[in-house]
Amino acid sequence: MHRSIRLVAVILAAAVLSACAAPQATRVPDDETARPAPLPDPDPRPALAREPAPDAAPSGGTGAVAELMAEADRQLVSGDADGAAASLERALRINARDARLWQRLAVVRLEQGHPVQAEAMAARSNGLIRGDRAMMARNWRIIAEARRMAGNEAGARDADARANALSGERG
Amino acid sequence: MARRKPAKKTTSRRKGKTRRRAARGPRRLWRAAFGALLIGILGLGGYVAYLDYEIHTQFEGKRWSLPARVFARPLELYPGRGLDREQFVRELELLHYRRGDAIRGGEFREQGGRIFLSTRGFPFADGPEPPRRLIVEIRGGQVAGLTDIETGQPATLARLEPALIANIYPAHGEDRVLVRLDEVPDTLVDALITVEDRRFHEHRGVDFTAIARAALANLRAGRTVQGGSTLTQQLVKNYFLTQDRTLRRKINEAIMALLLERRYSKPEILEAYLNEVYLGQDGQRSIHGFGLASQFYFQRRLDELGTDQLALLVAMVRGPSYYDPRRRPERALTRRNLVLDLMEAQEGLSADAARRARARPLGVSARPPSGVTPFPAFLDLVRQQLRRDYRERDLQTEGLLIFTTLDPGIQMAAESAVAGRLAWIERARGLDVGSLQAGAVVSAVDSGEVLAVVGDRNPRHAGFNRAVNARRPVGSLLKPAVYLAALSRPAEYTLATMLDDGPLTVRLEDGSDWSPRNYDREHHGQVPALEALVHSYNISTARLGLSVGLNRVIDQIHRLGVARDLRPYPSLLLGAVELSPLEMTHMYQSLAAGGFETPPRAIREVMNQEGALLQRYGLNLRQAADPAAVYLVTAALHEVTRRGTGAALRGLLPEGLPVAGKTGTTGDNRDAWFAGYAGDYLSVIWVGRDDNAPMGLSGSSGALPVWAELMGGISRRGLEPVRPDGVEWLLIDPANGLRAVEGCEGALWMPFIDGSAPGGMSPCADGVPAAVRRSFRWFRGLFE
Repeated sequence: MHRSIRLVAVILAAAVLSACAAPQATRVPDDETARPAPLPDPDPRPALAREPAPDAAPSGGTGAVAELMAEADRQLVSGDADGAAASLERALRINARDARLWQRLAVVRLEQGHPVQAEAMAARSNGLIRGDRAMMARNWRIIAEARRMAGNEAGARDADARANALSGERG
Repeated sequence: MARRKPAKKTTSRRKGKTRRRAARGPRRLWRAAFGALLIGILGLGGYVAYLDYEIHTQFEGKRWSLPARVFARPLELYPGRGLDREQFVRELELLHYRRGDAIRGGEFREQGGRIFLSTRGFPFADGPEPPRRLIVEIRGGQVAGLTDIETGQPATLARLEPALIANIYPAHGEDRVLVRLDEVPDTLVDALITVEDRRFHEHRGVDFTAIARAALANLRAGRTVQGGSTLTQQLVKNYFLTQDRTLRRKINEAIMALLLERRYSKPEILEAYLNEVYLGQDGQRSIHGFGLASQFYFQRRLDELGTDQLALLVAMVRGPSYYDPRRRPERALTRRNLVLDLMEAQEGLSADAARRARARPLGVSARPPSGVTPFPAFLDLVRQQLRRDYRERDLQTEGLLIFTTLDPGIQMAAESAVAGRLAWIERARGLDVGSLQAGAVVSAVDSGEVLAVVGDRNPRHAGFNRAVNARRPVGSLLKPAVYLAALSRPAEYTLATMLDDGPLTVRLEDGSDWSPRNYDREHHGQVPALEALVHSYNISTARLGLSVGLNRVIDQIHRLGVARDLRPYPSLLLGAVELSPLEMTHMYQSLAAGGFETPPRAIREVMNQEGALLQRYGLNLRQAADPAAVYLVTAALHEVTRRGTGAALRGLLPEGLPVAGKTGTTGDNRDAWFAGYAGDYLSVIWVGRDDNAPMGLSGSSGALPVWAELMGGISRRGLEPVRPDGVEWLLIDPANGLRAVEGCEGALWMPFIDGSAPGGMSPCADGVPAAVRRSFRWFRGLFE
């Protein structure tokens, strides 16, 4: 009994689904008019609303990005901020969705004395991070530093607080 | 020449004075003669010193004015890079790689799915890329493997040389590609000396034996058949003097040759000669030096030429026009073989090698590589950006190396999409052939680098640039900025905010009335903001913009990157403002990059001719909007392409390539726009007529097909914006903007910024029993 109710519910749901989502797809084709089959309606949920699989295949160039990132780190340590920026931008052309690259570029911009740029890059990095709170905290510390450099002490304290909150919750 | 005249006049005047004094007596005569001699010697000495100075300054200083060279972006190779075989081979051909054994630089061969190639290397601004031998394995539309042949190890990253796409010349002028002596093949140098100046290494600038021999030969023949000029004299002649054959010029030439040899070493003189010698003409551009001649005749670098080709270049020194291998192939062949004979006779070439070389055809490319850029519209943009930092004269003479962002593959795809689709639309719509025009810009979503610019449906035509310089009303293309201004205030507006699409009349400051109409001339009642944007309703959008405030909307448009002054008229909300496709690219770039504004850049670096970095045009970001609000706008623009005014894309784009975009159509269908982006590229298309007449096309029927053809061909990554923290997707009933449940008919998914979602439940939810809702989820789970 219980089972049959459930079955009916499923069938009902299927009917509702087809009415709601893909009315044309379920329509029986009319042979006489012989129109081309209508395109099936898209998934009712837009592609954006569907969460990408967490372990989605990373875009290509992982090795290349790692190599350029290491190069940028070497350049930054040796005081060649411009060279580091060039290496990081080259890496970003390979994979612009790598939050680490934006974060490093933010550091380079700080080094070059461009606090506004640094803050924007760190914010861009934060926008690409899913879940890595430590990395987000690092971005907020960069933002704090950038705001301090730009003379915005209140904004810097606010950024520091966000960084602390992120690190604290992690611990 | 003009500067030399005063010196000569002074000398002759003094001679005149001494002559008058000479008549007064023998002692005075002697004294005067001595004085005259002294003055003569001093005068001559002064003149020689002057010539020496001229040689010195010219030779030591900047010797040649060189046009700026403009390069495309270099192709980066790494495992995982999206690339197909045809695209790769096209790129290699653009760089004039030839099929061969891939051992020498500039050669490649295909074997199975693998391409063996030997790169030439390039001194990039961020460090030199060495010449490398690589195996590139291409599978499934990407680089599946990259192997360094020398080490046998996998390589992580390599890049090809950038293709030269343009030179910035003065209106008339010399062109050359400088070569260093150590880059020039010995065969060429040996052949040149053998043919032109056998005693080059022995003489001191002037070869008297050669002159005597030539004079004798000429006397015998009764006309000039042989020249006795050394390479040094030839250099002087080309370098400092005019071409006239006067005795004075001959004497100057000899003096300067002697001076040159006294001051400079043989290798220095030889190197100058190799770069100076005149070797051809291309319209108003004269081809100088063996470096450029090699490219001009063979489309190869000098060190890639064979013996026969080098011999031909040496053969042409005597008369580039008379022995022009393209126009006078027989003459050129005869003379080339004579050069080869001489090389053989001087034992610079074995009999066997000489025989093989003589048997070869001339091998020149059928047409000279054009000195005119194939991408004039892109170059326009480059020059516009260069003009901010460099003087035009410096661009024409300083030999600057300009590294641009042009992607030749994407540029060609854009050109063919524009040309092909416009012709197709004209045919399908019965429009006059050639009546439509277009402008197109393609850029990289994340960096703002401009990858392609099409300014005319005939892309080689260097005329009016519709992508960069044409300003046209943008219509609905501007609407996303209105919605962004609204959605940035989530406490007041969401995508579910119900807007009134009923008749609207606004009293303007001048007393007149403004009554916007919808494209379909209908009214749509109460509609959620999402639907108003998806279907590009004018009236509800105008209402939204007015309620947000015109100044707030203008501020938002400016922050997105449109720099132009905008007047706060209500019609601005519907795009009654004239902007170029490039300006629209800037605005959409900020949306595509998640709210970070990046100016469109066409240049990466500028180097001087010595290869030192002068300027880097780095990536600059400015936060232009709240990323969460931009995410909402992108979601809405994605819906536009699924079921709104851009729904026609569904049949035109590859399956599984989500994109976001917006159509724009202006009054009487004079302008058709489409702007949109995927995960990797952004493109803006304008289609219209130059005479601004109505063409009967909307953004959807006129510009969208071009955009689809282009993006379908180049995009490899669909839209996939990272959902900002706090944004949640909910089902909304479009009838009332309230929360719906799965099972509610017509319910739409919409994203909301944290805390802004409507609280109320739509009555539609009441009609769906809880059990059905649960089962529905279970049922859907089967397919997910």
